[in-house]
Amino acid sequence: MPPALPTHPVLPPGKRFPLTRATAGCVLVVVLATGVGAEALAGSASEARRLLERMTSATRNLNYDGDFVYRRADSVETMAMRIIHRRGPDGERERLVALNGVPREVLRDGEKVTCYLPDDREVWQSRSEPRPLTHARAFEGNGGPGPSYALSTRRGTRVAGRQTDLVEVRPRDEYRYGYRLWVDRETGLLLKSELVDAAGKALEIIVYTRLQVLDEIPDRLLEPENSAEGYTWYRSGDKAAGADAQTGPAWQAWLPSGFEQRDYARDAMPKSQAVVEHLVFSDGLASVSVFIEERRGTGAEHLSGLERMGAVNAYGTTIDGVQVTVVGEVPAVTVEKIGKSLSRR
Amino acid sequence: MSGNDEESLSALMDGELTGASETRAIDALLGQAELGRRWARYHLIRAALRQELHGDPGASLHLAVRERLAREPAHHTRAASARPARRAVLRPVAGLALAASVAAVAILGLQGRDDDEPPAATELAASSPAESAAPAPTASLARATPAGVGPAGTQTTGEARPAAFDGGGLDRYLVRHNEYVSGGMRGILPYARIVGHEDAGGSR
Repeated sequence: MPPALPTHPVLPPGKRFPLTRATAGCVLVVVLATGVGAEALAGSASEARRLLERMTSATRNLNYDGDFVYRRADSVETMAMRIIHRRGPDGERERLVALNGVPREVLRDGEKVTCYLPDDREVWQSRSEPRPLTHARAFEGNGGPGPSYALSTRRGTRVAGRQTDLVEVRPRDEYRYGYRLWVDRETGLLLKSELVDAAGKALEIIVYTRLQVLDEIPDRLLEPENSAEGYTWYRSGDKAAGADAQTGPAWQAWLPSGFEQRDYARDAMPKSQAVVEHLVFSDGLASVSVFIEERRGTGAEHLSGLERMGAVNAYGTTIDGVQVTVVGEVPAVTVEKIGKSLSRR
Repeated sequence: MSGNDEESLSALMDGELTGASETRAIDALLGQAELGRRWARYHLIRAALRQELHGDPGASLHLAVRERLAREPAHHTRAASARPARRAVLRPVAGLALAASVAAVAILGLQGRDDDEPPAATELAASSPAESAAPAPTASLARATPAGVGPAGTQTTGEARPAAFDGGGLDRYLVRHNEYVSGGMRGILPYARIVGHEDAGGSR
């Protein structure tokens, strides 16, 4: 293990700087980068991998409190939010709350995710899923057509007053999106994120304006701001018995290369409590959900055709009399192609 | 006779009064002899101007007014505005796209030069009005080929109807889907799509 290196001089007050091998290695990267002059050095894919793993670990294991702005390409609004995350004896707990306008917020722990919607005076609560790890096969491929994404890294600009490394995740085809991720050099936390299409244009941008890593986070910061008095609570039921990733409905669909079925559940949807079959496909990084359910009523409330919400695209259609809804952080062409190809085995 | 009455009469004459105003004017007309005479004279003048003059315009005023009342069309209330079928998730794509283009330019100015980004990196993919020609209400935007190529070789992203998290149908799916998103490397950030919202101002 390399000898301990001096801590960065602009440490925010109150933060203990854990000196780990990963951190030391990161400083080493800085040394290498500056050693070849002013021109940004394109790092290796494996270096990018390491940064992503470190970022995932930091996101889950550190205690932090930050503000960021969120912007979508199809919207003129810039939305400001605060995030608080804690890893403690009670596991991982976090809260996300809007700073502008109505204080929508999401609270999440190991058991449930709760969405407070004060503009509708509703609370949606459902089961939280174990956080998946970005699968290695997203970047390594299986000896087939190659990895779904190509990685590279270079020096990033300053974000939220901190030095960063820029990791670029480039999709191999038009069926998925890419990312540009500015990772804090000190802590490994994500400071700026751009979700980009195949042309490199940003569809969603998240930029932190303040981020503090803390030793402790008091409980009250993880309590909801909304009193939810008089709100209507909608709780989803538990997973239907007997459902697991192996069993599943007799459906088949076209998928972009690299995608595999990752999960299957029979769930009660938030609010409506309608029972749906929920298949999850993933290429190790991007995920696509396919919901299959009986059509309700006149069917007017079911999605038909394409809709998008920022980087999320959805496609709805009817197959054999059932409603199929495909949702994912993938281009519209992907959800549409999957939806149209769906058929019973 | 007051000036108001004259004005009312004149307006009644010209068919400018409706509803209660008209009724009041006619009542006044019926109640005041002088007004009645004026009414007759006005009609006479108008008829002369239209070269409609025939017979004796001094026919019973009451009859004339009653006739007029009978001809009066049924009192219209403003057509009740249709109750919105559902909260609007469709947006005027072209207008929004234009606004988004302007906003993108503003953002560019704010961010200035960022030396670690490729030239067009900070430009948001706001579809131009030309690209968003696909009409928003079209239910199915079937494309057999992969995402179309827009002007200058850029890929269009504007084929799908834009929506917002507003409690509508798509939101439930999004909440369930969010639990499986993005390999977990961005943590709770995907929920920003639900927490972030455009403040329309006012309750729904």
